[in-house]
Amino acid sequence: MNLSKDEIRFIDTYLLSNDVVYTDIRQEMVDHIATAVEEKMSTGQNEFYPAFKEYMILNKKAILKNNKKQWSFSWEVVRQFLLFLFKPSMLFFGILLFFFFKKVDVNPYFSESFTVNNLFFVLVITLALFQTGYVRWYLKKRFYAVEKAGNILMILYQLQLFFLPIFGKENVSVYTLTLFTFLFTGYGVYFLKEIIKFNRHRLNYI
Amino acid sequence: MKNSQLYKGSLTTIVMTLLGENGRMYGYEITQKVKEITKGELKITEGALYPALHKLEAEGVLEVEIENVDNRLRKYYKLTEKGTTETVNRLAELEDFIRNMQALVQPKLDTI
Repeated sequence: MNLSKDEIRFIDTYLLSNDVVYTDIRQEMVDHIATAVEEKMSTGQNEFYPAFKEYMILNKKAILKNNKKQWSFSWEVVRQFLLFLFKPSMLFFGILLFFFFKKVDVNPYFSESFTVNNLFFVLVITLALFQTGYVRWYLKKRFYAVEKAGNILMILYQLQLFFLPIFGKENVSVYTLTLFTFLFTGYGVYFLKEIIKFNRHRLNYI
Repeated sequence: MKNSQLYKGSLTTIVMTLLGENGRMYGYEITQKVKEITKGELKITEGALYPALHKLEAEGVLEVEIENVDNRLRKYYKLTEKGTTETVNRLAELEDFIRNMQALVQPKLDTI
C-alpha cells in the first residue's frame, strides 16, 4: 500500500518540526519512514496515522540521532577539504603561489588603513555572503550538501585572525601569504566543486 | 545494533558487500536485508547507517541516484569503481581478522 502525497507531506512536516532542517537529509528520512510505515500498513495496521505513530514510538530516537550527527561539526568535512588540498594539481598551484610571492613583494600595496588582514577579511565576507545568498535567494531551501563547507570557512577565518597582523603595517612573510592565499583559493575551488556535485542532483531534490 | 561494539567496525564492510552483491540499494532496503540475512540477529539503526553511507559517498566509494518513487524521492546507493576495489580489500582484511580471532579465541572456546 503506497502512501498518498498528503501522508508524505505529513511525515515531512513532522520531521521539519523536529528540527530536521536540511532538505536533502529530510528527504532521505521521509523515504525511510514512509517505506517502514507502508510495510506496517500492508502487514496488519491498515490506517496511516496509527502505523506512523507505532513506528515513531520505537524509532524516533534513532532517526533524530541521525539528524544530530549531520548537524554537528563534522571532522569528515575538514578531512575531505584537506584531502582536496593535497591533490597534485592543488599542490602545484601552491608551489606556483610561493614563487609568485617570492618574486613579487606585495607588502608595499598594503597600508595601515588596509592591512593584509583586511584583505583576507574581505575574502571571508565575500565567500560567506556568496554562500548565504546562494542558499537564501537562489535555492530558497537549506541543503546540508551545500552548507557543510561553511565550517571550513569559519576555521579559515579564525586562522587568519591568529596568524595575520591585525594592526599596523607589519610585513607579512612569503610563507604566510602563500599559505593563506592557498587556503582561501583552495576553499573557493572546493566550494564550487561541491556546488557542481550538488547541482547534479538539485533538480531531483527541488 | 546487537553487540554493537563487535559489529561497529564492520558496518561499512557489511554495507559495501551488500551493495556489491545487489547493485544499488536504498537505506531502508539495506537495514531490511541485513535483518533478513542474519534472521533478525543484527539490526542496523538509522542513526548508524546514514552517517556511514554519507561518509562513504564523500570518500567516493559510493555514488547516488535519486528517483521519484511512490510520491517521494528515493536515494539509491551503488559502488563506484573505487568502491568495488575497496570492497575486495576490506573483505580480505575482514577475513584476516576473523581468522586471527578464531586462532585466538577458538582454543579457549574448545575448553569451555
